[in-house]
Amino acid sequence: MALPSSPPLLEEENDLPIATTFLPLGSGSGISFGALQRKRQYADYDSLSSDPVFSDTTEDDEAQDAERPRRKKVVRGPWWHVGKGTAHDLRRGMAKKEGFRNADSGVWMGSDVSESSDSMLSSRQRMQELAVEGQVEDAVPARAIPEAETYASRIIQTCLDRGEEAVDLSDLALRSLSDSTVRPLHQLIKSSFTTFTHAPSEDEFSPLTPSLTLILSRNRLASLPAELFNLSNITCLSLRNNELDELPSAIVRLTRLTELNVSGNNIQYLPWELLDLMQGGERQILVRPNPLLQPTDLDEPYPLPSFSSTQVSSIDESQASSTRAKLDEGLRGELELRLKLGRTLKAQQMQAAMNEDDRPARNEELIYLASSHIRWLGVDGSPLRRARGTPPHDDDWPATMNPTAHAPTASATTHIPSLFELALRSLQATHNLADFLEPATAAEFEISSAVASAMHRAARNSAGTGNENCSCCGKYFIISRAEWVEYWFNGSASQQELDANSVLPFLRRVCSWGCAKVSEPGTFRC
Amino acid sequence: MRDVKAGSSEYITLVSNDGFEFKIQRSSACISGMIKRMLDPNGGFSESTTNVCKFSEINGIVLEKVCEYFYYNEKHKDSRDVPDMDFPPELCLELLMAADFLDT
Ligand SMILES: [Zn+2]
Repeated sequence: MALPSSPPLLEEENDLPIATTFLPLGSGSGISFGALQRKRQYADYDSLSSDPVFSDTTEDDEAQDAERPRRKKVVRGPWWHVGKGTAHDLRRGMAKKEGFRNADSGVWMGSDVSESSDSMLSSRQRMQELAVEGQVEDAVPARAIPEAETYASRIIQTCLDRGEEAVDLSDLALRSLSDSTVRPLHQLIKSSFTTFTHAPSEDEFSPLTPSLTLILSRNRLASLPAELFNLSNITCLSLRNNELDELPSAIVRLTRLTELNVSGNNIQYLPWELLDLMQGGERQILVRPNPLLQPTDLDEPYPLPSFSSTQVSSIDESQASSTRAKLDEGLRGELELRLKLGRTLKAQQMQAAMNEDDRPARNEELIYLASSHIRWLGVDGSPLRRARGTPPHDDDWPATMNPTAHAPTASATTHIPSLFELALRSLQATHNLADFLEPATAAEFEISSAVASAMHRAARNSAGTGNENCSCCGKYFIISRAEWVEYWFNGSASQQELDANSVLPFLRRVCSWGCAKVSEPGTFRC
Repeated sequence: MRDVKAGSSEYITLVSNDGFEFKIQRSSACISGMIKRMLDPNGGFSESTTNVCKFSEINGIVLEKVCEYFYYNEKHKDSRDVPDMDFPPELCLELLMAADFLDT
């Protein structure tokens, strides 16, 4: 039995499952914890103990296949290299399909096919058994690890050997970082555990919990390995000066983070989930500079609005200024008013809470300001065919007074997943999607490009950090049905007026049209 | 419901490529953007007068599941917490493609 290398988080209570990776040692009882999760954890650590760096052979994955749905699978390496065993499923599926097509007599005729698929599988298994030695090299020729990453891997190993909690991988010109390179960090305190013959109690645990500092600054990373977000003991993460286009929403799994630096990347909007990390103000989160979206032009100072002036100006300048400028001005005034509304509501709540506890009021505020138009998406995730007269999507996601304009139909309020989504989830859970995406197979099944791209996404989720959570109802989804950007004030309570440095954009993605609801004016976090 | 013209009725018939017929409530089936368009009296499709939709791409077993989904959707349309519907693994791919075709 492998030992867990990530102790539980003792302080936190409402963690996501990934953060509560407490594994009972020796027995599987006593912990109310998803069996799926447990299996994955075991598998991860098993593979670790055998060969830390090159642990992404497919045996683990195959061993798990029989025991649990594929949905929760954490795949190592790119998804297109994974799951060779499931060609069997595919063939069987085809056999069934054939059988059904020939089902005129009412008898399933697929016996020939099923026989051949069995023998095919067994010969495949045999080949794998024979090739176990050389498999790592054979199976992943394309994954020769670049030199920079080899170096990173060596640094990690050194830190493990010395028990150092600060892992400095900065300035390595890293262009990529793979799951297998960061996975050994799970082991950071593993040696301390080996003396235990029983499940450590909370008291025994807490001094052994490492506080991992991971410095990846000044590299050339355009994406992050999914495994990074399983390192729940990271307390300090620097991604400064890389080439990231986005910060994955899985960042919210790193609940022990106290410092996060993503400045100096190509990030235009932040994941909605980052708000959860920002609220409370205990964490130091640096997101600037980045090419962050703005709700409207906030660089010009705004003449402090009063209720009358905004109304009058729209009449006065009716013909003098362009529609766009007028709209912006009205919008700017609206944003300022909403900031005040949020502050008022917040002050009221603080007043009420003050009687119960004496927490000092925080100076930094998080107040909802405005949203962009909602982008409504079809069952396969492609933009809806747009009715005549609706403006094209603006890549800058500008804020608007009426985000729900251009909603598809009045009846589009359902929270029920589409048949497409449900079928895709079933497929993801029971099959290896990569098999279907091989050109020959895709052609054989006549898989359309829209379906193929949805399957790509599902496969990528399986290989990465899993399916996304709806930013409204929290349920998992593969295909988002609506997206928009919300702008939130993030600045000091003494700041009188909005400026470009005090507004943050957050991208929201939801599971259904019914979940496409922007925050109410006056919403705040504290 | 939209305006009811001659030829429209409360129930419609869906026909699979292997000849299975499913009678289903029009309002349930119109969750499908495709079926809705086929039945639109202004769309000019013959289906809008016959109330019969034939699908040359979809077989009986799959179409039965599609109809099951229509009822599932109808049943839960006002609830927020909906149990996921499960499908036999061997039907998933065909259902996915049918769902794409039906815009459902
Ligand atoms: Zn939702």
